[in-house]
Amino acid sequence: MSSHPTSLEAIQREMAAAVMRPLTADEEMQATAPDGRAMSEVAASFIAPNSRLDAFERLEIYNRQYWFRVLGALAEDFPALQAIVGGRAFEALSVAYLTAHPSRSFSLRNLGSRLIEWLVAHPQFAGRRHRLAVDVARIEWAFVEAFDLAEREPLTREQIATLDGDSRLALQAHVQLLALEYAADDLVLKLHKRDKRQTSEAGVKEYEVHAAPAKLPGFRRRPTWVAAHRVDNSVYYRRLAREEFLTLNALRRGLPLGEALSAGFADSRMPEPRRAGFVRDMFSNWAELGWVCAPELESLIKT
Amino acid sequence: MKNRVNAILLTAALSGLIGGTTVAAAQTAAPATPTSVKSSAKVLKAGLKYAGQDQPAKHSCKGKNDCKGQGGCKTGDNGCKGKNSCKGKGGCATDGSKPELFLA
Repeated sequence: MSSHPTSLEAIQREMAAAVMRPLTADEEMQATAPDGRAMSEVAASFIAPNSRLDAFERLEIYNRQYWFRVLGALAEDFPALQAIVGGRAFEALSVAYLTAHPSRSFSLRNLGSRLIEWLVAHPQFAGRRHRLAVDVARIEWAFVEAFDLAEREPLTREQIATLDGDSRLALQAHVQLLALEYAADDLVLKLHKRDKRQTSEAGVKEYEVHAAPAKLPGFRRRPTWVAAHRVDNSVYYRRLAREEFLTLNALRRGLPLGEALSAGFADSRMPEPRRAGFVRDMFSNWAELGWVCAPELESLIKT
Repeated sequence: MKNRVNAILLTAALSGLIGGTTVAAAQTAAPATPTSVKSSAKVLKAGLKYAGQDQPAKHSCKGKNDCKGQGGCKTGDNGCKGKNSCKGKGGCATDGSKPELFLA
């Protein structure tokens, strides 16, 4: 007996559930619904056939398009991750991730927002270079964030003149700070250049499901600190010294300037005579890049 | 001693902030300087440019749109339209707004 969803909301939910359900290995809609009903019956409950297609076939079009679209979108945002794990493994990873975290936003931009935490928890999808894959995913997600997160007015000279050690500063939202286990930033840059070159040569790049994992040089763990950020509508990344990363991170966490500086040099091996010049240069660079701004008033109100 | 060291670092930080802000302000204010020259100094400090952002917009539907010519695909054909219009252009969500959810 077929059950017909009665309200518009019920129809929308049933449609969304069907559309977002993973395809079969042959990229077709699954024949059976999660509740055991035949999908042909489910489809017929809210979709009319036309002269050429029955309800199942019409619904299958949307099911397939959803998956082709989201898989392509994820691959576009994580080309280096795809290169490292290989095309086939990346597709399995993507299907598993998108099944756990289906698209919930009007924008495909947000599709990979939970990939890092998911990848950390599911190492079996990343192969033997799991930690490197996590670092690469973090860099690539940072690029997405740096690309379009907010930019506010940087600190003015008048505002700087009022600062002391107890002042709290803020960083531009688009400045993404990364503490990596590997020096994966150079690897990502090389893989992106390769990806771009292949795209240019091919005109349009197809989703490379059969690509083998990229051959990588031997990688040793080496703590690496990177900032991804935006200048004039382009995304850049910049290596940071440990002290620079720790100071920026402390400022982002809302520590007063004096405490942020102490946090930056905790356990530092940098000789003390060098530190003042180093601090002056790094703050000068941040100011020139417009990274430092005043905290929003709400963040200063203690609750 | 520790307080003195901290005071030196704080002074260095503030003088760095003033110096960098002055440089940035001078670059912005220079009317005769072309934008490309103005930003080149900034770009030098920016680090390495991310190479992937000039790619064409997402086009994964290409060649896979099985519904074409079969009917029943009007909405599906246009489902991608407008959803990635900012991709590759930069700085398009600078109000920091969060996207609305379309599912509960």
